[in-house]
Amino acid sequence: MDDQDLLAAVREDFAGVRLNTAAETILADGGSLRRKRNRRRVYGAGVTALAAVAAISGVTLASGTSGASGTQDAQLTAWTVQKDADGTIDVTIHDLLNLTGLQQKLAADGAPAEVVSDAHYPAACVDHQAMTADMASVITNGPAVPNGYAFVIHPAGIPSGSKLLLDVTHLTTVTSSGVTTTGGGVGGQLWGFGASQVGGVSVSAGMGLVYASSNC
Amino acid sequence: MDTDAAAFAEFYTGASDDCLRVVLATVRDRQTAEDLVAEAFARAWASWPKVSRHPAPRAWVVRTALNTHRSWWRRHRREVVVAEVGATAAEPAAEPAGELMAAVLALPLRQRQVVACRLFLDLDTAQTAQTIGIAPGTVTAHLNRAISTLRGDFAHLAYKE
Repeated sequence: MDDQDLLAAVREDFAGVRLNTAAETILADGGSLRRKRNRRRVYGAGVTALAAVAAISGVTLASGTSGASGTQDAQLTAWTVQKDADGTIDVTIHDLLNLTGLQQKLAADGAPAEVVSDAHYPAACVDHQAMTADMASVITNGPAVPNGYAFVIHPAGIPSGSKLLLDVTHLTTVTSSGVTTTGGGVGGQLWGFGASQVGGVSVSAGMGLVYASSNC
Repeated sequence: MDTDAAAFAEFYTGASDDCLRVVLATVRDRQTAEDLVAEAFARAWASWPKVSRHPAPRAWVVRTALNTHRSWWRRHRREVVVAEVGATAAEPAAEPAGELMAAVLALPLRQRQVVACRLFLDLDTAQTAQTIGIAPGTVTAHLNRAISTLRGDFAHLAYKE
């Protein structure tokens, strides 16, 4: 028996593995996803327009800010990043906007990070070997916040030569609470850390440690 | 059903089983694999103008499913609280299978992924590497090791018969 015969026999053994979901169901789910994505784009465009208006009127509206809300009359914020005196960084995420800005802000505050959404990991990112052991010293829970997710980054805990991989997403259902560990990961190894909060939270985040490189 | 939907439905009908087999070979849990592949196809439909022009749309679906699987929330059943950080997440239970299918599922992760991509998606070395996120130079080595192991398993099974 040659390799082709062997592989044909394996293929035959998998023949009973079939996806039974109807195409109509997939079309409906994909259509819903597309409409949600379009609404997000409209919302993002609205934020941009409001920011332009705010720039004229003197009100601060942003897709991301670096501090507390202050005394502005109104604030529309996708995320906030605030560095504390002890070097820790408080992060709250409400929406998946201006993630490049979030990544730049975290780096400026001493937490090198690769920020992605919906599990779109750069292919060049490789799990850091210390991830599972050291994540507890890198990320801890933040306070409960309505319609968002809050966590604290401890830059001192990020091993030399590594960076955070932060994956944010919209969720419809969250079944667990608190910062958690779990399997998975960029390279198919242990992912190390995830985070979520129970009840009505539309945004959540997963974190890992990856080797810092020119492509990641 | 409009033209695009009909084209997508045809793609889905022809590709969904093979995509499921590749993802099953990775995650080794039938229900998880079905959820991942169904979601990946929904995303494919949501991005159909792009996916329909992709050189390997089946690989796009598998890549999306595997990326989603890497996300922590897909494994919430095995989460542990922060006080237990350091505990290793349990491996999913192996899919009940025929003996050769079981032999594939028992291979190391990269080997079973490479075999599945070659068998069910008919991907070349570069496409396989891109789909599962490994260096192209390692694909052939993984495939050769996998075939060698399966050959031994198959000989054993043939002997038993």
